[in-house]
Amino acid sequence: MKVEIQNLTKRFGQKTAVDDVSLTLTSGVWGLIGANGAGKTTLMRMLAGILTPTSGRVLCDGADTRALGEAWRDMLGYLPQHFGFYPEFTVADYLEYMAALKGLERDFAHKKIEELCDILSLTRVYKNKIKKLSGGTQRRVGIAQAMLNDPEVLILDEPTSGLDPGERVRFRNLLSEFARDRIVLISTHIVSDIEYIAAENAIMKDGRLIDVGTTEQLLRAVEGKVFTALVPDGLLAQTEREVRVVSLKNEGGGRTLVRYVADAPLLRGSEMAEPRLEDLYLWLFKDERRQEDV
Amino acid sequence: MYKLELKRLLKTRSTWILMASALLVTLVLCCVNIFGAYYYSYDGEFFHALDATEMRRIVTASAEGEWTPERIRDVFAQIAGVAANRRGIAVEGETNDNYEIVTGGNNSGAASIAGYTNTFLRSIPQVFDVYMDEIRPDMAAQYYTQRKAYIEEVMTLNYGPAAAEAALRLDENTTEPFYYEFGFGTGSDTASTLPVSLFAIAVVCSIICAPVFASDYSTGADDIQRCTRYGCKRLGRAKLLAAMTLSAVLYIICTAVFVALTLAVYGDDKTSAQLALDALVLIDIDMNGVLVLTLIAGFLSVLAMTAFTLWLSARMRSSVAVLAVALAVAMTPTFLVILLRESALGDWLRLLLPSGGLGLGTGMFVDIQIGEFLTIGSFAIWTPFVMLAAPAIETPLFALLAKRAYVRHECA
Repeated sequence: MKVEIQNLTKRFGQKTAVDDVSLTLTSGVWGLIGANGAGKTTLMRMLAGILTPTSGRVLCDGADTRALGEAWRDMLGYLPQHFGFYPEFTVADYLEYMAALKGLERDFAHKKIEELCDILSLTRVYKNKIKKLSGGTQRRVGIAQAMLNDPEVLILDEPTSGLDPGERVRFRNLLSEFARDRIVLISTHIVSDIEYIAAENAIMKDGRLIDVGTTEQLLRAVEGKVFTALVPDGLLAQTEREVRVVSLKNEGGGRTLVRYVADAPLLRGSEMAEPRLEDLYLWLFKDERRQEDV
Repeated sequence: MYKLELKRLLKTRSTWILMASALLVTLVLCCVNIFGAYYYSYDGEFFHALDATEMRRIVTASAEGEWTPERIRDVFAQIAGVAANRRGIAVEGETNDNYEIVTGGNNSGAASIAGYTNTFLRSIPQVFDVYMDEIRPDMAAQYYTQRKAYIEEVMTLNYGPAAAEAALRLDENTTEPFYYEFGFGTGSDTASTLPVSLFAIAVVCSIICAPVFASDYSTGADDIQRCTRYGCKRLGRAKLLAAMTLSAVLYIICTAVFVALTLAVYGDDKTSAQLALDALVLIDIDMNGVLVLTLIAGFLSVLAMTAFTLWLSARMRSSVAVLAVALAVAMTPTFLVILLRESALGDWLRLLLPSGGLGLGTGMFVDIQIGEFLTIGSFAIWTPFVMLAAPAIETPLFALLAKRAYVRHECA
């Protein structure tokens, strides 16, 4: 299966949210990386058919998804950034409602709901009202609805926000297994999630696609640009102003291990480190305001 | 999909609370109608609630039956006889209240005419344009002829010859002589309470329907639904139909309760509407017919208001904004009646709104008796017809617009 995004552009008045994006998605997990306002959500919404592009098109195995209509939606699973649900619904009500909207047979739907509730640890809260569940559990309900119809194309916008570390690990494993012969497109700020499971990544900035490739290919851009150095605690504030800090780790004895990205080592005693997606993110988006969750 | 959507709407607690409120308002108005009735007999005795209704039924029994010109003449002769000895008999004509006062020095004489004083006699001075005391028995016997002349005169004066011609054409089918019997139309205040009840139902329906689409847009639920097989056109259609069904069922339940209780206490009413309401009622209809027509007009208007609210909901993201606009439209006919009374523009606006058949001081019960016409050049149409036609056209129109708006909706 192949989904081709061809010259997709979306303008809202004077603002261009997505600017001439072309990308071919093949089976596997795809990570969509970009700062806030980069155009990830708009791109995903166009892909899901919720938003009409200003220009360009999306093809599924050569057929325009707009012309495919119901057939395209049958292949699709979508979890938006803000998961909206009916407050009066229990998990069971909601999943049954969504299964009906997806046109699933009753028996298949029940079996699938049971299976997903088990995998996503929703069995215990099956009869609870969604509005009374924690943010993470609500997110898992959202993931379950997206996967109800065994979609061939799964689009998940920030699926891991609100999940605890254990849930994230289980979710990553589920997706890895799920994406064997399907396309899964994930956008997240938690780049470590993508690092573990994404076969390919697409990086967006200011509405444009600036790079596409496997994690290894992309990391080549920051090879030799990631360093660690031990810095006395007293100099930390100054160090943070001077270099692009990725992480800080208190090593005890009044010293902190600083991981940073730069063209060349800037701190005394710097050692080169193995680059990760997080480093690449900070390197590429050095002009952006630093996100708290990166 | 339709069943699913209906089930979803009924799962919402606020829907049940609102539906119960509509029923409660209906019951309260019904009780006001029944238990708020009072009656002062000719000898000064006071009756209240069901006793008052029973007294009215007994007193007006003498007025039942057909009112031939001969009978009108005889009754006026009888009244003239009583009036010659009276100190005061409240037969001033335009008493539209739910009670009557007949007092005087000659109680037995007053008692003998008590049954007529709140019936047919009210419309006699109206068509002759004189006070009750000035009507002689022979003059009264000319009532039916004079009524035609009165209709022609009023219509020509207010709306021109085209309207007068149309009015007389409508009135051709009116069955004469008119008929009187005691029932909900002549014995109760249904004309005042039923329109309030219908208005309350329309408001509740608007509140229930305001979030149908708008809430899904604002919460993001719509984004998920739209990506499913049936999440676009079919879901839009199902949401529309479910909301319309709910409004229709709520209307039917509430009005059925109102009508059942009213009829149980007062009984039905075959009184000619020209007797019970006004000489300007232009069609052949009795009070049972007026009630049915009022219920049909109310039903069409409630459906039109529901479809209009759903259209707003499909276009806007905020349920509160939808509700504000819908309520403003629901109340506009009432304000127009107050602010632009007897203005052609006011009447056009009032009747072309989806809420045209609803409101206080407006609605079928009012329009059927005031003899108003909407005119364009030489074309004239009686307002009750517009009241029925406008919502019948607007309901499918707004429903289609709502579906179109939903299918085309895109959240930025």
